[in-house]
Amino acid sequence: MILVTFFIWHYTLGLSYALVCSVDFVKGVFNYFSVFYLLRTLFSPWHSIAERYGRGFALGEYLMVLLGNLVSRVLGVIVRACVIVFGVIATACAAMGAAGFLLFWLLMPFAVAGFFIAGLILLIPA
Amino acid sequence: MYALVSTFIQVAKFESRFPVRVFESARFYSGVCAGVALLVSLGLRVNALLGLGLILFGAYALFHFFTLFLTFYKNIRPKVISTDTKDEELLKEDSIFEYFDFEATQIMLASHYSPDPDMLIHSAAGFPFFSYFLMRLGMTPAMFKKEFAEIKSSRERFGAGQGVKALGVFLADVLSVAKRNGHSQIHPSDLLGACATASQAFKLFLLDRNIDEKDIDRVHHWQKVLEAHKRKGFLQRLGESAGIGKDWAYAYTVKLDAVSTALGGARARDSLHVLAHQKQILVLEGILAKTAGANALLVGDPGIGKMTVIEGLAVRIRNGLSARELNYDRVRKLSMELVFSGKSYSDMVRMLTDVLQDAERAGSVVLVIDEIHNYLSKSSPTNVAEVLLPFLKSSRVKIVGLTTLGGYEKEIVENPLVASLFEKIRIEEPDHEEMMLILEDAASHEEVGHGVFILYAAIKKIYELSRLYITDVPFPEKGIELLQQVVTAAVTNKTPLVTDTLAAEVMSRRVNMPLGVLDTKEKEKLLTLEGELHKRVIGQYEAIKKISEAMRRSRSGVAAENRPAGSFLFLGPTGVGKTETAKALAAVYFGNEERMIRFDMSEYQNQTDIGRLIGNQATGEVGVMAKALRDDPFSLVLLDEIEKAHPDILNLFLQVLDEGKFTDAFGRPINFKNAIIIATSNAGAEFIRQQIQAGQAYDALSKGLVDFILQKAIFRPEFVNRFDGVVVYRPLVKEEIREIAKILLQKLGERLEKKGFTLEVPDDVIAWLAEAGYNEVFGARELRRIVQEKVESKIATDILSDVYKRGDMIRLQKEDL
Repeated sequence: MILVTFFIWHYTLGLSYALVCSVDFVKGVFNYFSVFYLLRTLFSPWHSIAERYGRGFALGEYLMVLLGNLVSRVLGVIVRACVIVFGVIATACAAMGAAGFLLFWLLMPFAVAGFFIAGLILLIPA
Repeated sequence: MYALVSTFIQVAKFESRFPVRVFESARFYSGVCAGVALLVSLGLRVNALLGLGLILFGAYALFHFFTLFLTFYKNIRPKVISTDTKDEELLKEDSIFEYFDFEATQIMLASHYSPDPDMLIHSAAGFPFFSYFLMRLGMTPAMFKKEFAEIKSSRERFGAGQGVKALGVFLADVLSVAKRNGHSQIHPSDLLGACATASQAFKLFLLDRNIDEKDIDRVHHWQKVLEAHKRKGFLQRLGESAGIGKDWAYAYTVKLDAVSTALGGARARDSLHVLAHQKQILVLEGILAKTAGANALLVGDPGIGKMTVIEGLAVRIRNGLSARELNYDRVRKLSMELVFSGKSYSDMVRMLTDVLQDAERAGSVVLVIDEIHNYLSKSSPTNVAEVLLPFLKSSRVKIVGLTTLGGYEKEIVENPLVASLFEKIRIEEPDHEEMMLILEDAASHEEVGHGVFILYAAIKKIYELSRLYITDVPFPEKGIELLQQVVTAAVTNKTPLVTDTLAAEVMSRRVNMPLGVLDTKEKEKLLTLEGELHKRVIGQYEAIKKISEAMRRSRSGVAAENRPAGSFLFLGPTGVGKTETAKALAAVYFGNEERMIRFDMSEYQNQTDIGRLIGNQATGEVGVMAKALRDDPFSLVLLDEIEKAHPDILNLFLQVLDEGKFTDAFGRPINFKNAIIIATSNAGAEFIRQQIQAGQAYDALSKGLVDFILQKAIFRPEFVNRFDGVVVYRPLVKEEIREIAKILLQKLGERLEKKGFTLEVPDDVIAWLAEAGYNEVFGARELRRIVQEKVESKIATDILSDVYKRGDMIRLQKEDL
């Protein structure tokens, strides 16, 4: 009787529980790499390192400040873009892993039966 | 829903026979064996071994999913009790069982839904909660079953009993307990709580251990706290992770980092006692989430948990649970000592400005300044209000100041501009319930940290002792501090068990007073208090009896807790033993007569004299009474000649006698709950004498005297009524004077013995002294004077004249006096 209850659970509440866990896992990996946040601040200067242009206009000084600030932003873009790309790849891998897990969940009774049958065949020589 | 509930009950029934831990073990062993078999088969290429490995792996998968299945049902809540559901509906056709949690369901199943509470308790003893409950009482289920059976068999202890109620009635009790405990499901603690009333034997078992229904629920909560402290699962930790790269957009804060420390780090997460301050944490979060004027001032006594509130918020921010506006902020505590260390004022201002600019540039810092009132005081050499002002107005830096009530009133309110830039949050002391939960939480940490096991009785005792005897520090600090001291004592004594007795011992040592459960010696002392006092006070039998009875009420816990340990008004002529009684009581109750603090109230006849007692804020003078009681709250306060004090001073004592405390001139509470107050007065001495001569009985004399002093308006009725007892002292009779003479000479003999002499006093000398020393007006004082003049002076002269040498016996002769 309990086995019947178990199998009913496995394909109803258990499955939805597995689905929630899988989604949480994928979301967790995605959030860990702060992908949205890094996209929003993609062009921000690296650690806010930015100089002010100051009063008046002197071309040489202006260009130096501009160059410095540009380097800071480019550095920020490079590091953030790398993390974003890595985060997306990791999330994709997590999504595939989660899908595999869900598939295994669905096939579990058959898989277990398969393991037992295959095991018995190998254990008992023909 | 019905299907879910019936499945839930079915799984509960199955799990009580085959616990989930069995499947966990099976999963572990099958997993290990499968791994070994598969690895070896791959190496040896043996098909049979591979087949065995596959079968074991299949078993592993099955056990794994079965464990998940059972755990799933253990943790779900199929139905919850909502506040709008009526009891009648819940109890209709036993639908209440649908609201039982997993373990409560299992207990009911094991007892076959019996309405007999004894049977239910017997069934519950095998389940985790009851085992845990017994463990916290220092017992095993086997020990409990034995004791429970003994209690049940000894019928004479509780008579015939109430008999077994109908199941419906019992379930209604269970529901009431669950509602009282604020539960939305029926937990095992609710079942046991109901049994605590329904089962006479269980009631007695709990009474013997000073445990009530609420305590059962607290132990249940403790069990849940421990489960919550277990290492979190991978998914939960991943979900709570703050993520990487969040601070890459914020500026480096080199100067700020050098003089500040980060709050809400990984270590703080497990050592916080934030339970008591959840509400204040959310209020603080709301204030700091504002775009402008996001500064807060946490106001509360030292030790009340202001920093805990900040830590709690920092952890919320770290876990990404706070308001969006704060999500990536850093909370840093500024060390003003480092900012100010060894520099001139201008250097200090420059340094602080740099640090604040650093924080402002970063735009992501919540800056915490402890004791902020010290830096806003106009008279202080470290006043930096002007430096802080522009940053308090800035939207890019958030400042949280911590201050005391006194500091807030004195320094911040007086600076309206600064005060207007902060939002004030008052941090209150946690109440009893919150404090018990905090102590349980703290105890769990202490157990892990020190390898001890803390009994629930110890937690309860620690709360009680810290509440009663530590009056200068607020909760939660004082409770946690005492808990740590008790655990340290257990570790030092190499005792792995922390008990209530140990807690009482630690507190006793701290206050130098017997505090524990009344031991036999102390019980005897209390029961024979009259005898102890009569060793020093001659006569006055009625007075001594009245005092002794009041002290027994106080020590046994029968008396009101929020009043002094004892308070008496001693009325009677001079020299009859009023002060001596006070000294004797101090010696017996506090262990030393030097714990008597004496105030001659004739020195407090003017209204302005009150400042000398409670302090004067204008002059900065500290009150003598306030200081004495703060230094040693376990004292006997003797107020001599109370009738001579100014009426305003008597009003001050009205509050002391009623509430057991007063507030000194500096706003600090002074606690009298552990003190004995004795006020003495000669008022009505002549009345007493007349009544004694008229042969009036003691009770009538006492009543008549009180009426007399009220009629004469010597004291107001509300003042006299505040005392635990008005004790009337009779004038001494000649026989009593003779006994006092013996005591005085005995004491003289003891003093001489220390100097190497032996004193021998014949009876005729004692009789002569008693005769010469008897005086109706001055009582035993005259005798004391005679002994000094006639005996002590003569012996002193003889010793100086070498009449006696060390080792000699001094024989007093009547003729020599």
